[in-house]
Amino acid sequence: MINITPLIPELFLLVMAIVVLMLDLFSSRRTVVVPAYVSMAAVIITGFLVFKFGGDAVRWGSNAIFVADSFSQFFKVIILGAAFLAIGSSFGTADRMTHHRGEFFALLLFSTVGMMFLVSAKELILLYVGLELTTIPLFVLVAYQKTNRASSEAGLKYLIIGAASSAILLYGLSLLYGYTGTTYLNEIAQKTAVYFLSHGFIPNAEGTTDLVGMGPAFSVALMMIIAGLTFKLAIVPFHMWAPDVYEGAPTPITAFLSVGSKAAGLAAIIRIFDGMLYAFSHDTMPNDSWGTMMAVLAAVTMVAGNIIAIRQTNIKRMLAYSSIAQAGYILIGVIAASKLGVASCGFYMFAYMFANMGAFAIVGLYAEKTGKKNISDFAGLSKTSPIIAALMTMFMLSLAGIPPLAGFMAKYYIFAAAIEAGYTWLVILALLMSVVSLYYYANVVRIMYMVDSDNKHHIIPSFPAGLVLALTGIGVLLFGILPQSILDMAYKTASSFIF
Amino acid sequence: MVITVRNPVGSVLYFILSLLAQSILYIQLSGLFVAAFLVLVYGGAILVLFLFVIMLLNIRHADLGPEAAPMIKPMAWVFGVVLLAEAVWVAMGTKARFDGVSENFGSVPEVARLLYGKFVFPFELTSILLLAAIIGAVVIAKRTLS
Amino acid sequence: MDNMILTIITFLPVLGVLAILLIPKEQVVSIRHTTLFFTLVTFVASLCLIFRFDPVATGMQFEVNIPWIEQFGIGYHLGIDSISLLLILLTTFLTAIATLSTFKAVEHSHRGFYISILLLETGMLGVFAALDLFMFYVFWEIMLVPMYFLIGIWGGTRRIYAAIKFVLFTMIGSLLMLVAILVIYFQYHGLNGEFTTDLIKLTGMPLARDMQMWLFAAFGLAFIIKVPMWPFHTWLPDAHVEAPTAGSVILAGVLLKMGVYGFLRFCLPMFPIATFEFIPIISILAVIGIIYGALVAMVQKDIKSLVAFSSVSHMGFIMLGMMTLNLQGMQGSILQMINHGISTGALFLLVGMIYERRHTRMISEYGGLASQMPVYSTFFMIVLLSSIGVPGTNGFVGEFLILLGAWKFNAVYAILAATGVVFAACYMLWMYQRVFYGKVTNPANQTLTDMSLREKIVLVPLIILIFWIGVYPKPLLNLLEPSVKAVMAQVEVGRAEYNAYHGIVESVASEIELSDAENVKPEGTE
Repeated sequence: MINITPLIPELFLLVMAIVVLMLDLFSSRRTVVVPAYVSMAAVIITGFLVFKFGGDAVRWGSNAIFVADSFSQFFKVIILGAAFLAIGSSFGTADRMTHHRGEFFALLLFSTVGMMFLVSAKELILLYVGLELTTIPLFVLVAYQKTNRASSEAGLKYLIIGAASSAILLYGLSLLYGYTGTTYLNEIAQKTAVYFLSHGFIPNAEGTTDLVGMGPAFSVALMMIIAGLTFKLAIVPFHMWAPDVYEGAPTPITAFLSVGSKAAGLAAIIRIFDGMLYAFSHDTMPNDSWGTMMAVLAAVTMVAGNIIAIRQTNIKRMLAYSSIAQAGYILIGVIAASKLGVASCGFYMFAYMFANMGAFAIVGLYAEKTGKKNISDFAGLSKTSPIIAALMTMFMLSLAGIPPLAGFMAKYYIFAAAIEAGYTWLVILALLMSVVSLYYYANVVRIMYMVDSDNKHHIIPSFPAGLVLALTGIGVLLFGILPQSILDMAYKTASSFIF
Repeated sequence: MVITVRNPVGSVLYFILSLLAQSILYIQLSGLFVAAFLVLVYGGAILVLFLFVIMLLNIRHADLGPEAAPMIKPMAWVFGVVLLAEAVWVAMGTKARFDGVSENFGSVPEVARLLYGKFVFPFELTSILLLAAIIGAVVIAKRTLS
Repeated sequence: MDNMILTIITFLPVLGVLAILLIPKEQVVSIRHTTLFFTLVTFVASLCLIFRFDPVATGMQFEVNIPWIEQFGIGYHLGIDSISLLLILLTTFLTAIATLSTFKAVEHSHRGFYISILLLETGMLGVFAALDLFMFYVFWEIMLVPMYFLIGIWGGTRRIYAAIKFVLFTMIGSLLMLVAILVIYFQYHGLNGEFTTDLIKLTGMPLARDMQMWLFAAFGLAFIIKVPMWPFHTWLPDAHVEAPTAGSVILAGVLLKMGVYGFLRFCLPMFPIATFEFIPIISILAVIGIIYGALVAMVQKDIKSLVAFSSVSHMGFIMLGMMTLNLQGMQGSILQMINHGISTGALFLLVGMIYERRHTRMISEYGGLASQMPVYSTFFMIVLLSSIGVPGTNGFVGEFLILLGAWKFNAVYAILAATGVVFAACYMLWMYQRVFYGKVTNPANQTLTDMSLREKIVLVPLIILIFWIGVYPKPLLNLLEPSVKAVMAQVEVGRAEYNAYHGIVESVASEIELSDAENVKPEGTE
């Protein structure tokens, strides 16, 4: 009998997703409140369950299929947090929909479940199915505003590119399977590690070899996996979809996309590259070509993301490019391939969640009230809604990495990991780019505070949106000044990996 | 051929052809059950459904719009050749010998054992995935009631 | 009490911010008074430091060291020696004065303005009190945000350009500092197996010469930009001209000192070998800065930018004094930091007062003010003389000590620097002549009123300090001596290795540098 207790949080959330669907069927359709609050409660309870049933793994034989280790717990907290904040800030969006409100939240929860599986999967097929469960509801959510051309276009674009990247990933995974004859990450890890450590063949009982000459196909497999997963993270050069999709999607979904699916994709990359293929970044590897390749990807991503972001006038596009750039910073932690690296990725994602969800919540709120989406439309916000403007300033500064906000701690952590791993040039580049990023983040602040306008929109958030803003604001400040507890948690996640 | 033909019906028929070829590969690996399944479910059921849908939509040649940008076709050829060359390079460069599949590869009990044993979680998760996809399809496809 | 007092002083302004947030934004007067109250309380609290400070003890006092982020070995570590004591006093004093001076100058968004001032004060105090590299960096960066707002919201016409330029320059400088902090952190771990960013522990760490060079350069760039030394000074005139008066006062009075303080506290003690290597470069830059700043100041049409360029010149003096590495030079350098804070702060206040009346700072707009505003002209003259360094004022003491130190260090530099004093007299007095003497030609000037009581209250403490330091600087110098000697001793560690290195590599250039370095014998026996 397989022990399925580690799966309880996921199963619970699945059931709740179906409950939300049913609720919509039976309750009054006038209001969006019931399914939304039920979803929020479900997410919170799932969060508790994640901790209650952590530490164990679902196994088949001796191989883990699904692990609820501290690493996955930490990322699940981020994902659930993102889901919670996205639901909280989508009351307004959902309210204006004329139809399918319940399905909106159900799909969001389905996608969350997919992410949770993705984070915990220790088996290639489960990983792939988790990824699909993550993205397919998101295709729909992105295109949710059917009457809006931009939304439909974004949905279609996301669907085609997402499907293509999934196919590439699947091809890579199947090649990997063909090589190693197993889909379990730990078995692949053993085989590749043994191969690389001995640089020879491992004869098995029949005198043949399990892992024969890692020829070019192995490289191709890894490249395909990198390509497939970096699509999800919107790493340059696989980032083309992000700005259009981010711009067209309903704002809470954009936020969820930029935090939740990024966190899940990041976790998968870490599992594969720092967990399964740690031999590549191991000291014994004479030629760390994969690290260098990923470092180049990270560098290009930071440069391109930040420089293009400067020229954006639409705030959602600006945030899209900024989140591309942020993915570049996070990749540095993956490249460091150390305990500190993994921990820093986790903490960065955590800090990023607060700032980015908060920023998108404000953008969504503002667009709802005024229908305006350009950065220049924020002029005079400090006069009409000083608290919102102050919060936005905090989020922007946190994204830019100004102390004492959480974003600074996160950057410090990432850079510490990279310097420990010897990537000083990457850190200097990253810091230069964060000065560039300060320019466009400060630009938002400048427009809010220093440009006068006859803007008379006084923005009063609804209760759930206010809750979202309060939580994100507190998070950004608190985890910047007192990050100790989260840092410890993040550091523990690294114990799931061998370094 | 599936994607080069501009007539959707032809496209589907070519797809069936490629599936048949794929099932022959399985037969070569003595996986009769999988091969038959591929033909029955994919070739028989799903693609016939495709055909129905396409015929119902009744797309005319003129509706398909003009040919894509002129540079697309030559570029597609170039990339195709590059990919093919890469595949050949990969195949040649790889010294791996396939160990051969187990005796009962593709037999009914073996497939069942895999689906409901080793891969039960992905399998079950796939059902959830399909559920989500159905909901999504309904949401997207349903006409807005005013 | 002794270990709490620095924390209290540093975070009192934050308490003030919270208090201001409770006041409705329409009640401008009570916002002003609350701010003034908190800045005064902070000043009084920092005065308490003097009485409890042990002037003969070496090392840090009022230390508090609590683990903050244990995983990184980052501690909440505050502590001061007499150098930071004086700078903290200067900060609290100038902030209080600047606050008092703004009662009429701010025209809108009062609450935001005073919140920025108070946050800025916390950042500045934190920088001077921090004994942990990470904390220092955090405070260093925190200051950017309120300063950005101060310049950008309440500044002049080109305020946004100036604000962004200020922030970007500072950020570019400090980013390398962050890398250097991380490198030191791992270096120390490699040597001692402990993760820490504690300055006291890191000082005296035996680093290889090349490593020291890189780290010194990385820290130094941040500090050089902040000082600012030629050729990184271009942000300063923009920021000064556009900033509101209070912003200029704090910028000139305190922010610029942070660069020099950074050298004294971090670069010199931690990287002694590299210090000797960099002395020629930095002192040449300092001399260029002195002469360049003075020459450019001479041709300015705007009084404020004239004062700004004079700052570049004065900061050159301060850096030169520090690079002499002898007692007089360094004492003079620190004393001159205080003097520059007082006299340039006072100059900006005076310029601000006339600007409030006429809304222009062009020299050509004025003339003959002496007859219209006799009290104002007198105050201006005193401050001006102090800035030039006339005997009897504070400026003389500082500059004299620096030149004395520089003479021992390198006579050529001393002579070149001395021309800076002459130039200063030229541009200052010429400006004074054009503004105050002659007949009132511009009819707009005929209705000008003289200084109000509040304005006099603002300036009188500064004038007292100008004369007090000018006539009787001995207590300050005595106070500084142990700390300066401590820094000198820390630097001296690097001399042997520096000499050894350059003894091995034979080249003409290194021989010249060597002979320079030999002149820099410590003068501790005096």
